[in-house]
Amino acid sequence: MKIVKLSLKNWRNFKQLEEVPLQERSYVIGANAVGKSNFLDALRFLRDVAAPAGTKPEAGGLQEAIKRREGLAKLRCLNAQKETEVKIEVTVQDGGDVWCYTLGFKGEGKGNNRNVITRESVSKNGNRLLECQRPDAADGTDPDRLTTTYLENPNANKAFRPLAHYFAAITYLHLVPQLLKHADELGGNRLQRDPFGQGFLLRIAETSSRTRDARLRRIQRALDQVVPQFKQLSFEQDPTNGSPHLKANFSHWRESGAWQRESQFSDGTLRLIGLLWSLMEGDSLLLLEEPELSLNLEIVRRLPQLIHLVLKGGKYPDRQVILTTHSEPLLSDLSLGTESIIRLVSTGNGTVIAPANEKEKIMLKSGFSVGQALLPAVGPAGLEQLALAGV
Amino acid sequence: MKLSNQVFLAAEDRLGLALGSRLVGEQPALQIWRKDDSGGCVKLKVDVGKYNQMAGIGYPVLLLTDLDRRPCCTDLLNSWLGEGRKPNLNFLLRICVREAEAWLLAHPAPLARLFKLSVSRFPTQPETLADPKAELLKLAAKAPAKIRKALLPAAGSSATIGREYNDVLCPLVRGEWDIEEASRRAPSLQRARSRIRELALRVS
Ligand SMILES: Nc1ncnc2c1ncn2[C@@H]1O[C@H](COP(=O)(O)OP(=O)(O)OP(=O)(O)O)[C@@H](O)[C@H]1O
Ligand SMILES: [Mg+2]
Repeated sequence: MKIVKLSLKNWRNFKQLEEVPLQERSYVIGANAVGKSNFLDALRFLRDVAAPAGTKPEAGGLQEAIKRREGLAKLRCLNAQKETEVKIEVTVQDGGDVWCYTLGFKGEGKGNNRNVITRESVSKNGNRLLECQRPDAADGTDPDRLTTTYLENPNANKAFRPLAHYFAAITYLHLVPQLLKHADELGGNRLQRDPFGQGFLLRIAETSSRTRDARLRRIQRALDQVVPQFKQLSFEQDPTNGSPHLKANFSHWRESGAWQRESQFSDGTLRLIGLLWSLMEGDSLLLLEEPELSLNLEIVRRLPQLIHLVLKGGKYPDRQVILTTHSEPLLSDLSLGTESIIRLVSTGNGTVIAPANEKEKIMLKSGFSVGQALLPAVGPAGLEQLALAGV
Repeated sequence: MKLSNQVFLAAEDRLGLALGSRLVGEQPALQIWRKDDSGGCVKLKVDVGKYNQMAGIGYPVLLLTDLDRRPCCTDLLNSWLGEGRKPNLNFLLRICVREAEAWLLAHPAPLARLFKLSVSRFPTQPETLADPKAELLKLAAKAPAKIRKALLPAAGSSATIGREYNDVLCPLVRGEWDIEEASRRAPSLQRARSRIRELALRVS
């Protein structure tokens, strides 16, 4: 399955985005604070709504998803004036079928100003599913029902269960190596859904040993190419307290090599391991936040290729990956076309998509990469004033 | 093929871009749609074929680069484009003899004011200097401390310029620096102006 279109209304700094086309690999670019992470967050929101209910701390559901974002007031676009509804709409390709899911919600405007659904609808191949067209008659007689979506409710989402499962499996990764390295000092406090990879080692531990070994072998082969002196990667459980660890062998330490645990790996090595592992884990939509961080330029340049090869060599070659980036080298791969770039620019009226203009297309035609053609237009223009002002 | 009036400006650094902007700015018929500073000439050279192709499709490119220590402009063109090959008519590959700093020195008054030095201490034929940047820095070394610190690399550093080199010089180029005045002492600047004037005529 993959998301082929996304529309947003009043979602954070997007007042209105109409049917943004998404590809198997899409790259979200734009200046700092333009809304790249917010764009991904709309998809993470769907996941949070659809996640299985009740199993704290991973509890799903609309109310929980909004609460996790500090309430509707923080979420709703500040540029939205009268229009109070927040709306997310996605079109999902599922083999030969096309699903469309729409979710709108707003503050009730009375009492405790609860978050209530303004609409929820599902269609399959253009036909509305009668089981999910809300508000429906039952909602009319019992307004409390409008505080939960059918998406999160297994009794109500039977007709579109595959879609619910798909949303629930969406994965977001912004691995922060320091969180892994200092896991002990930081204690067990972890954010829901572990966006920053703190629980990464646990995930590895929970994987069956056969799958785990196979994945680690593939990661080892990739690292072998890019990290000097890297020799072997394996998993171990601490014999005294059972805590999970990665260990690697680097040939430069001693004649025979020496094993090191993840706390001694370099930031880039850890990030690469996290990235590669996530790519091999499942076939859900994978959202990656600035994968270029900590990585050497040559590796960054080859990331699109690396992602492609790792997926191609695995079970799910068509897995969808949407990533944010600031990196021109990452976008220097000439096999990337403008269709795979989502360029965000902010306007006085919220952030919008800026497609390649005519001249940028000429640049591409002349042999420049999408990174060269499309990135500079998003950079900041005021550093000189900064120097002059004596900051 | 219709020739666009939208110019792509590429240069080695921000100083080059500032100079290029003044050059194009003289022609009301032309507009700059994009400025790229590549951080040195290596990348410019890699992309030279692409710029040439853009120009061939009707989108003019002004590329400024330094001659540096090469014997002559033909030598640089041969090495960048291939022996004996000429760039497209609308690809203006202009070469500063020997460096962008020579063009800046060619109108010394604003620099003299900034450095609090007499104009007479400035070279009269900056394009004949082997290393105009070194000359500029040599003069800057006599400037008041604030300017000196901004322009010169820190003692013992292998850097060639100070941290605020471009931040100080670019506004000068955009402001007081007089292109007419400078082109009297910088023939390569004068030639670049002519080529851009001709481009403007072709566009309108
Ligand atoms: N409800 C809202 N309405 C309008 N703007 C919002 C809203 N919520 C957040 N923002 C704005 O979104 C911006 C942050 O967006 P985001 O984190 O997506 O940026 P980004 O493009 O990922 O930037 P970076 O490159 O720095 O990671 C902030 O400037 C914030 O003010
Ligand atoms: Mg971000």
